[in-house]
Amino acid sequence: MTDSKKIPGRPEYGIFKFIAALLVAGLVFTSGPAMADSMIGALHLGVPVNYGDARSRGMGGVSAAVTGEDFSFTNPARTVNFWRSGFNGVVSQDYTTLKTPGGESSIRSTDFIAFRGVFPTYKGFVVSWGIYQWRDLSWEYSDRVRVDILQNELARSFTSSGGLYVTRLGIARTVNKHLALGIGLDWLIGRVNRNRSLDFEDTSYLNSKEQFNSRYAFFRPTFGLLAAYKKVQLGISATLPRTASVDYYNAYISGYTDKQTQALKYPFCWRMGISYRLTRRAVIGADMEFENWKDAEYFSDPLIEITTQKRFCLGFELMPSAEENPSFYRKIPFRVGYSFARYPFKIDGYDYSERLFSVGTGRYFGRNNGLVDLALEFCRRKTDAPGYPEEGIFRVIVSLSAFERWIGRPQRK
Amino acid sequence: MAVNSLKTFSALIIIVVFCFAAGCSENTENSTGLVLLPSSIVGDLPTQKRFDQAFDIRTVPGEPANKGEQTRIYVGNMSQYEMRTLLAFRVVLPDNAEIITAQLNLYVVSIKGELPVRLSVHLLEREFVENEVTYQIAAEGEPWSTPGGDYQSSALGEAVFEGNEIDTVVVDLDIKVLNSKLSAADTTLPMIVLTDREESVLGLLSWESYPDQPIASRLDLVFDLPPETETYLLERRSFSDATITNYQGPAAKPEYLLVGEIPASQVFFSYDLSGLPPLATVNRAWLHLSIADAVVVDTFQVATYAVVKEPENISYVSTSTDIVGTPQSVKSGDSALEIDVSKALQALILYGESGSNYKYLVISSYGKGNLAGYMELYPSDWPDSSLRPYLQLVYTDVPEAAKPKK
Repeated sequence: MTDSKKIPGRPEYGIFKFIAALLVAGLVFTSGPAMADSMIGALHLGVPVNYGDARSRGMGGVSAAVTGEDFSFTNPARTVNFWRSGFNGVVSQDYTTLKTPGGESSIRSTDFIAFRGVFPTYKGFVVSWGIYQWRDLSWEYSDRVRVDILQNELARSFTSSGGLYVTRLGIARTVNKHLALGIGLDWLIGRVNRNRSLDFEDTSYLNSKEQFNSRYAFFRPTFGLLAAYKKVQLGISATLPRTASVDYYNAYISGYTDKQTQALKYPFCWRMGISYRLTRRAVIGADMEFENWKDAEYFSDPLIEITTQKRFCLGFELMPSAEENPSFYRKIPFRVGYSFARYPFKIDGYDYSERLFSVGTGRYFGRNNGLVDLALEFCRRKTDAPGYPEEGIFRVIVSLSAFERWIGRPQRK
Repeated sequence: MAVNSLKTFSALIIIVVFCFAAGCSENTENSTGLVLLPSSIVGDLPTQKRFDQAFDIRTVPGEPANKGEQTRIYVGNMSQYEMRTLLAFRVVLPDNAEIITAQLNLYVVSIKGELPVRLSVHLLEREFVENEVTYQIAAEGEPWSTPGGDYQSSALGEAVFEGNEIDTVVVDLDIKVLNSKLSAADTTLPMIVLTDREESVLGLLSWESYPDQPIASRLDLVFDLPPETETYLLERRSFSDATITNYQGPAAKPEYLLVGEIPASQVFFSYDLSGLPPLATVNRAWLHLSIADAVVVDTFQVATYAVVKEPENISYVSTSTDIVGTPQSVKSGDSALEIDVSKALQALILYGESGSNYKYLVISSYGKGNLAGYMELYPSDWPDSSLRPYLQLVYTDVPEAAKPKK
């Protein structure tokens, strides 16, 4: 190679573009306040986060059995679909509206969802490492109340910031042309910093402020299986239950501090997915996921009853055309999906549910060494219990991927 | 092809940036949805409670405290108090030095009462320890032969002051006495300043006012060294100064509670706090006291301590103990006092399982600020119930989720 002329989009710059794009996205995401994500997260161990990449999110969260380059964490065995190394980062932006009979409020929140690297190695093994958000524990609430003993109103605020993240070191291998297995060693880490403050207008009063934080860290494995037969693929994954310690730290404005450790049982989780290739370009898939919080003995509050968390997803993807010079709309994939989730608690005997409709697309760039995927979600969280609010969310999810430069254009099969 | 892809990618980035920038105009205050917060996080609203009766209220007498570390020194008489100023200078002169003139400069920074005031300066017959001396003792274990200081009966010098509030009193000193004193190889000149004027007090600058600067009572000595004809000036600032005070009034009336600097006395209040949540935040607590009588010399500030002790072990709280909260001033003629005891009560609540039910709010004279003075308070069994002391507080229990896990 003697020609040193720089070519726009030259492949070896792909990884730098990837990092630069992530930095730009990060700056944009953090330029505004990252506030409450969902008040509903206060009722349990946060709001469950769909940890698929933007491709999966465009399909309503379907990912456990889809083929091709998908960085979702749902099934450790599914990384065997990668035939070249790649990195992926996912971020999202939520525009949330909380509606109650008494009014409506809007909030915007920013989430880092996932980062992952996948590395095909020798003898058919595919190693991966990544981190994703499992549960979102950020929310904020404030109001003013009148108290008989005070002349002025009392301003109350309740905040929670943090989340639970899982870093997974995974390895997967194709056993034969119909079966692949994978295992992920999941290190769950997380924190949540919660505050309650009562502010008196009369400055001769000491405001009440309590900080009650918790820290989480433990390991547990996730096993995955991917089976294929003709046009059908089946994926199953299971995460074992684990009892682990949680560190609690309380600090009050009065000067009192307290540190304690308690055990928390994290539930058995399993997920199953199926996909079917309708045509050469069209794929349909479905996933279902269960987290058995009922046995976890977490969160005792008279307001709620703990139950099993369930999620059902249905998605469709129309792949880009492989023809020479197709029209623009055939160069990009089109995805659409729907999911229904039941949160792990009931209020007055009623479920809190989430219904979500999504669309998505994507585009390779940089001589096919980069990939950007975009998904838009329209989500509604509600319960039939009277008097409880409904939450509407418009969510933008972007994932950026960078691949090895010497591999030819990948095709999503 | 690559250029087109780059354009497409750039367009997508622009769209994403636009989407996120559009979200910056959000309303971040969430004023709905409290119902979604568990009660364990919301917690309770503030509660008010009033204690009219105490477990225990008692007056505990103490010994008058040393006043050597205050930023002012006082001389005079006021409201049954006699105040004397003690000064000490370190002077080393050549062996054959002969003092020609000697002047003591006292810097007046406050005047209370009528002028003129006649000041007389006497040489003390024994040295004193600045942070131990009182009207009764020159130092720990060394009582004065005569309470109020052992000094020479003949004055070293006298001066009449009738100047302004910020002024200097210059007292010409007897050089014969000084020459005699210093020729005896003494290097310290301890002095006492007295006044005979009733109901008049001068506040003087002490070296603690500006500890890093040479600003304090000053002794000017002009001397010569025979047979030389030249004269020399020696300037010395007092290295040690204190006020000693004597109370000449009637004994404390037993029907009242007494908080005083002199006579030294504190009042201990113990309330049944067992009905309060164990870790409650005290938003505000105030102790209402009705004053039967108060004597204020310069200022009289009231401080609060928090003490956990069994009743049989109660003793006067030393002024070296850290006070809780901020001292509050009492003025002559005040009939009531509302003491902010929020921090003290909070400290008592957080003492928690201390093994004692007796947690005392101690109301005391603020020893670091008061020279003298006292106030008499109506007790809890006073016939007129409106004059009895009571404690009132607003507190908030911490939310259940913030309490220690069982």
